[in-house]
Amino acid sequence: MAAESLRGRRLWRSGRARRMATQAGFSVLLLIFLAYMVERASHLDLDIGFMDAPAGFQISHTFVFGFDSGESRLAAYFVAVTNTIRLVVVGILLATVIGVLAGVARLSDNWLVSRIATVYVEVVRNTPLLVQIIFWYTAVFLKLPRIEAERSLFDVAFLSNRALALPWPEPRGDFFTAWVIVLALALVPGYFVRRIRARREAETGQTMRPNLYSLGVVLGIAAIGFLVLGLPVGIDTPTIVSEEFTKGYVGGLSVTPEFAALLIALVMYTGSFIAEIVRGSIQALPRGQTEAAMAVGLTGYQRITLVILPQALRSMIPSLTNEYLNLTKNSSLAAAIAYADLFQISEIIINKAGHAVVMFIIVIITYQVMSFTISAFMAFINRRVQLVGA
Amino acid sequence: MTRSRFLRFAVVALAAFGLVLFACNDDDDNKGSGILQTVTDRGELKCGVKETQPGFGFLSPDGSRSGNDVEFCRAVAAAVLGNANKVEFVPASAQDRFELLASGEIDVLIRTTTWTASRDADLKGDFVTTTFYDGQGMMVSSDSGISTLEDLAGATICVTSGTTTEGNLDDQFQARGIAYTPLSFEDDAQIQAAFIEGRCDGWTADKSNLAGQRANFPDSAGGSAALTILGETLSKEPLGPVTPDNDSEWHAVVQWVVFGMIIADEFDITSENVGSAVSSPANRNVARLLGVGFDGNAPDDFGLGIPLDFMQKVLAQVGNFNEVYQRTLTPIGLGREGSLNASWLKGGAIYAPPMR
Amino acid sequence: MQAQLSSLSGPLLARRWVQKNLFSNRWNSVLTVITLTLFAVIAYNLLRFVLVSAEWESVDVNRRLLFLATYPSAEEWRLWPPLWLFSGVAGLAYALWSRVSRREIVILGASAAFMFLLLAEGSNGALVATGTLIAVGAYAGGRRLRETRYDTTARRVAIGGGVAVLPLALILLNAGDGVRTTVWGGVMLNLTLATVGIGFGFPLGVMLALGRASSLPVVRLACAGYIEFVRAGPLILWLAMARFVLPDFLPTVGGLDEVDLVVRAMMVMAGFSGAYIAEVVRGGLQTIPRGQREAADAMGLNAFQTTWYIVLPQALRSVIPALVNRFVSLWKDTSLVVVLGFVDLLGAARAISAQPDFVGRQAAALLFAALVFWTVAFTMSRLSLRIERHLGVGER
Repeated sequence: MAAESLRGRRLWRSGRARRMATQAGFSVLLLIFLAYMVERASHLDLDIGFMDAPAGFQISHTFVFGFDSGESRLAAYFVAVTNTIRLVVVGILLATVIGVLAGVARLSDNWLVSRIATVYVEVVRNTPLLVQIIFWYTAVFLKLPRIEAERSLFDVAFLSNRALALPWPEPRGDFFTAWVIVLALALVPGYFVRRIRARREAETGQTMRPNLYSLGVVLGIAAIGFLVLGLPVGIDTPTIVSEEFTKGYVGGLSVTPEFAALLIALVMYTGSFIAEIVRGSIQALPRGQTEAAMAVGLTGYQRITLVILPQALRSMIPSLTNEYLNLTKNSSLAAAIAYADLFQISEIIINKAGHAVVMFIIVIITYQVMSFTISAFMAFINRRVQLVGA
Repeated sequence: MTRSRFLRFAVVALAAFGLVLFACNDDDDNKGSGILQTVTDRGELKCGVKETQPGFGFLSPDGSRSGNDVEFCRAVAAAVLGNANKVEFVPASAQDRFELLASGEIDVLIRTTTWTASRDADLKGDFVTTTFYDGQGMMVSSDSGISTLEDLAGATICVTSGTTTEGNLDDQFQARGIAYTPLSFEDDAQIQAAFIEGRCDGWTADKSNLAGQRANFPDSAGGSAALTILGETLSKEPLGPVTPDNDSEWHAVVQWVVFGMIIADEFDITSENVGSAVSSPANRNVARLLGVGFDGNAPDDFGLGIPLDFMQKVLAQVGNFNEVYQRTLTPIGLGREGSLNASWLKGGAIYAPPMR
Repeated sequence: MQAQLSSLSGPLLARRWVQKNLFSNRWNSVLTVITLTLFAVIAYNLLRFVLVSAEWESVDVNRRLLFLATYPSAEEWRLWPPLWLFSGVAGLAYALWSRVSRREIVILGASAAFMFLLLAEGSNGALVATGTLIAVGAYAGGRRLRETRYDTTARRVAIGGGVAVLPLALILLNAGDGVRTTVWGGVMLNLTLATVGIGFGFPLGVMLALGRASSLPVVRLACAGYIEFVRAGPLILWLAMARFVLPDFLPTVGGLDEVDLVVRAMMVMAGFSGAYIAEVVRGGLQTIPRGQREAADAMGLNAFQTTWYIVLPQALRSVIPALVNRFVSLWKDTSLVVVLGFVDLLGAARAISAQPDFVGRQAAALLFAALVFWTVAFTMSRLSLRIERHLGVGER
C-alpha cells in the first residue's frame, strides 16, 4: 500500500472531511428529491379558496353546532372536527377506565376474573379494529329495535336503532353564565380546604379526608348558587316528533348507533392495550410494595388505589400517551360506518371539489394539533405525578 | 469486502423494489396498433365488468357471470371472434376502471358507466351509445306509506359517500325544501345492512342498482314486495360501453354491435328466428343487418373490418337488445314497457341510426 | 383402596381449589358471582350465534372468495411454492430456535389444522398436504441438526429461506404473463401486503432509526422529519393519499400513466410501517452503551462496520418483541385497504352480503374474517412473548 493513499485514508478516517462530504451528498440528494416534489406540486392547484364554497351536502351527525348544506365547506369541516373531538375525549376517558380495570383484573387472585380479563385482552388486541367496529355496528347496534318498536323508559328515555335518546341538562333562564362563574369561584375555597386538611393529615397522621371535604365545599357552594340564581339548569327530555310518514327524536341527548358502535369498539380495543400497560407497570413494581401494604393492614381495594396504582402510574404515562394518540388516529375509521368524523367529511369534500393535496394537509395538521394537545396535557399530568412521588 | 457485500445487497434490494413497482404493470403495447387487430390475434376479448351488481354484472360463488353488461361483452366477442364465449372478464372497480382502459388491460369497459362530459373528455374513453337509461331514484319500505319525495320530510336517508348521488340528493331536497338527515356509507353492503334493519327511511342510488337490491331483498325481510322504488328521478344517468380513446375503428365495431342488436329488436329478429331470416330476409334492411344478399345482390360491406355476417353470430349466440334486456333486467324488476328503455317505436328512447 | 382414595380426593381437591381461587373472601365471592353471570350471558349469546343463528354456509360456499377473491384459478400454481417455502422455513426455525412446551405444540397444531381444513378443498388437498409434510419434515430435520456442527448452517438456511419468501412470491406472481394486481384479493392480498410491508418497511425503519441517531444534523433532521410526518396521520389517511394524491407525485416511467393502486398501497404500507419500526429500533439503539461504540472504534472498525457488526445486532435483539408487535399491528392494519375498494379478507366478508343467497347476513363471514386475522395475530404475539421470555426482557 502506498504511503500517500494511507495518508489520504487517515484524513478520510479523521472524520471531519468525511462527515462534511456525507452531509453534502445527502443534502444534494434531499434537495433533488424536495425540488422534484415541489415541481410536481406546482402543477397542482394549492389554493385554499375552495373551502369557502357552499358545502352542498348535509352532515349526518352534529353535536353542539348545527349544520346546513348552504354553509361553507370550512364550516362542515369544523363540525366534523367537533364530532371527532367528542369521540376522542369520551373514548380516552372510558378506555382508561376499562383498561385499568382489566389490567388490575388480570392480576387478580380471583381465578375467574383474571382468566376472563386475559381472554378479553388476547381476543380484542389481536383482531383488527375495523372488523370490530363493523361487528359492533352491524351485529349489535343495528339489531336494536326499529323506531316503530322502540323501547322507552317512562317516556323520558328512548332506545331504538335510530338513537339512544336520553334526558340531558340544558341551560335555562338568564343566570346560567353567572352560575358557571360561581362554580369556578367555588373551586378556590375547595382547593384551600383540601390543602389545609392534607397538610394536617400529613402532620398528625389522622385521617382528614381532604378530597371528600373539598368536594363537599365546592358542591355546597354550587348548590346554594343554583338555588339563589333560580335553577339556571334544567333537564331537557327527548320527545318523539312524528311527521306524516317518519319519526325522529328532538331534544335531550341523542347517541346514534354509529357513534355508540365506534365508541365501544375504540374503547374496548384501546382498553385492551392499556390493560397490558397497566399490568406491565404493576408487575414492574417491587413485590415489597404489596407485601408492605398488606402488612399495614390495607384491604385489597386500598392496596390498589392507594399504593399500587399511584406508583404504577408514573411508569405508565408515556405508554398511555401513546395509546391515547393511537385512539385519536384510529377514530378516523369512523368513515367505515357512516359517522361524520373529520376524515369522512374531508373525503366527501375531496370527492366534490378535488384539491386532495390541500385537504390532506389540513387533515394532517388537525390530527397533529390534537396529538400535540394530548401530549402536552399528558406531559402536564406526568409532571404532577412525578412531583407527588418525589 | 463488507462494503461490496453491502453494495450488492443494496442493488438487489433496489432491483426487487423496482420489480414490484414496474413489473406489476405489464403494459401491453397495443396502444399503437389497432385494438381490433390485437383482439383478433389474441383470439379473446378482454372486457371490464362489475361483479357485485345483480342484473348488470354479477359473479356467482360458482364462478358464473350474469347481467346486461356481461351479455354485451359476449355480443362483441361473438361479432369479432365468432364465439360469444371467447371473453376474459376483468373485474373493474369504480376507481380503477378508466385506468384499466387507458393502460390497455381491457379492450372495452362495460360496467354501468355513466356518460358525462368530463369522462368523455378527461378520462380518455370514448362512449358508445347508451344501453340503459338510468337515473338516481329513492327506495323506501312499502309499508311506510311513503309515495313521493315530499313524504320523506324528517327522514334519515342512506347514501353512498363520495359519489355524485350525495350531491344530487341534497340539490333535490334543498330545492323542494325538505328537511332530512343523510347517512353516508362507503359501500352498498353497509347501506343494505343498515336499511334492512330500519336504520334509515330511504335509500337513494341509481335506480338500476336499487332494482337489483330490491330483487334480492331477502324473503325473511318480506321479499321484493316489501320495498318500493319511488317514481321520481333525481338525476340522469345514461349507461353504456366505453372504448379506449383514439381508436375509432374499434369504437365503430363495438358501437355497431350494440346498434345492430337494437335494429334487430326493431325488426323482431330474435335468436330463434334468425336462421329463417338469413335464408329468406323479409326486406333489404334485414338483409343488410344480417350481412346477406338481397334479390341476388352481394351483401353490403360497411367497412367495419369484421366478418359481414357478424350480426348472425351475435343474434344466434346472444340475442337482440330486447332478449338480452328481458333475460337480465326484467327479472330484477326493471320493466321495459313504458320506461325510457323501451324502443323509440314504443315511446322509449332506445334508437339506432340506420345500418346501410 | 388407592382408587377409592383418589376418587375421594378429586372432588375435595376441586372444592378446595374453588374456595381458594374463587371464594377466598366476601369481596371475591361477589366478584365471582358477577363475573360468572356476565360470562354466562356473553357465552350463551355467542354460542347461540355460532351454533344456531350463524349461517356458516355463507362462509363454506365462499371459501375461495375469502382466500383469493377474484384471483384466477388458472394462476394458483404461482402461490404454492412460496407457501411451501414458508412452511419449510417455519418448521425449521421452530425446530432450531425454540424449546417446545406441550401447550405450544397444541396451540400450533390446532391453528395448523384449522388452516389445513380451510384450504384443503378439492384438488387443493394434495397441495396443502405437501406444505404440511414439508413443514413437518423441516421440523424433524431441524431437530436432528440442532446443536450438531451443522447447527449454524441450518440456521443460515432458515434465515435465507425466510428472506427469500417475498422475492420468490413476487417473482412468481410476475413471471411470464404475470397476474395483474387488480385481481389479487382475499387472505392472499392481506398476506402479500403484510409481507411487503414488513419486507420493505423493516430495512427502511432500520435506516431511518440509524439516520435519526446519526451525528450528522442534516441526516438526523431529515429522518426525524419523515418519521414524525408519517406518524402524524392515521394509516387510512395515507392509503387515501395513495389513491388521490400519490399519482401526481410518482414519476411516469416507461409510458405508464399511473403506478397501479395495489402497488401504491404497498408503498404506503412499507413507508408507514417503516416510520413506526424506526421508533422501535431507535429505542433499541438507545440501550446500547456508548462504550460499545468506543470499543469498536478503538479496535479500528469503521463506522459502517461498527454499526453493522456491533450496534445493530445488539439493538435489534433487545427490541425483537416490540418489533413482532409492530408486525402484528401491520397485519391487522392490512384490513384497512377496504377503503381503497380492494376485496381483501374483510372486503370479501362484506361482499358476501351482496350475494342473493346471503343478503344482509354478514355476521358469520365477519366472524370468520375476525378468526383468521386473530389466528395469525395471536400466533405472532405468542411468538413475541416467547422471545421476550427467552431474552429475559420482562424479568430484569
